[in-house]
Amino acid sequence: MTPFRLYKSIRSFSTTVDKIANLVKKNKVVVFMKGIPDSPKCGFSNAVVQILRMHDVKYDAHDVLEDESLRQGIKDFSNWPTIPQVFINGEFVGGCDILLEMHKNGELVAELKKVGITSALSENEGSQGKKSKD
Amino acid sequence: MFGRVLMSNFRNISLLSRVWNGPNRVLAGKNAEQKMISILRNKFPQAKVIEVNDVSGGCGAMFEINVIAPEFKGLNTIKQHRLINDALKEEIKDMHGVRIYTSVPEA
Repeated sequence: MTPFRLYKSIRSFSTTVDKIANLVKKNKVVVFMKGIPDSPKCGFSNAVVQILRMHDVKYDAHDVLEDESLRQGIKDFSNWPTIPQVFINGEFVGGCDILLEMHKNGELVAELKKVGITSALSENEGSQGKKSKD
Repeated sequence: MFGRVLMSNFRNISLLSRVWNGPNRVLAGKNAEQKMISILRNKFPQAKVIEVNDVSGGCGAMFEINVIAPEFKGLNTIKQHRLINDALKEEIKDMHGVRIYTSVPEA
């Protein structure tokens, strides 16, 4: 019984890793969070949603509270202990604190540009705004 | 049969260890703060600032960690945070949330 259970747990672990590896590449920006963007179930997840909304980014969101194997699997996959987790172009970028910092120092606009996403807060877009200010 | 004996032993052991470590296991208010500070002190002996604050409002599942250390030099934020995550692996497991601030001391 024990060896069988061990085999089963190894198998389910590897399918989760494969599944996540596919999920993170499905869109340019992918977020693993608690709740859904329209109703986040954690302050940190909410912060990530708000930041991405400010940049007007379209992204895939996955609710880890709906799937326990995803909740643990994503932590193992990126070797990061907390949720939310943000991926850009299939690469782990960080959680709430790092995204917030990137938002503040302009790095997020640059990273989005690299993958062909023009942030609503980017400088080029802003030039039109400047005109109206003058 | 053998499996069942094994399982029940496991249950006893985990129950006992829970009793020994208290209800909150590794996390328990001020003690948890002090414990994490000493772990970080060992990991970053040259650190200028090491602060751990329980910001949970009582449940002990939300912490704020601030480390300013020369050891972070040349590492981006994510790598700096990974060092903290790694050092506090067991503690973070039992938290709901943790806010980490890291930086290199100004020369």
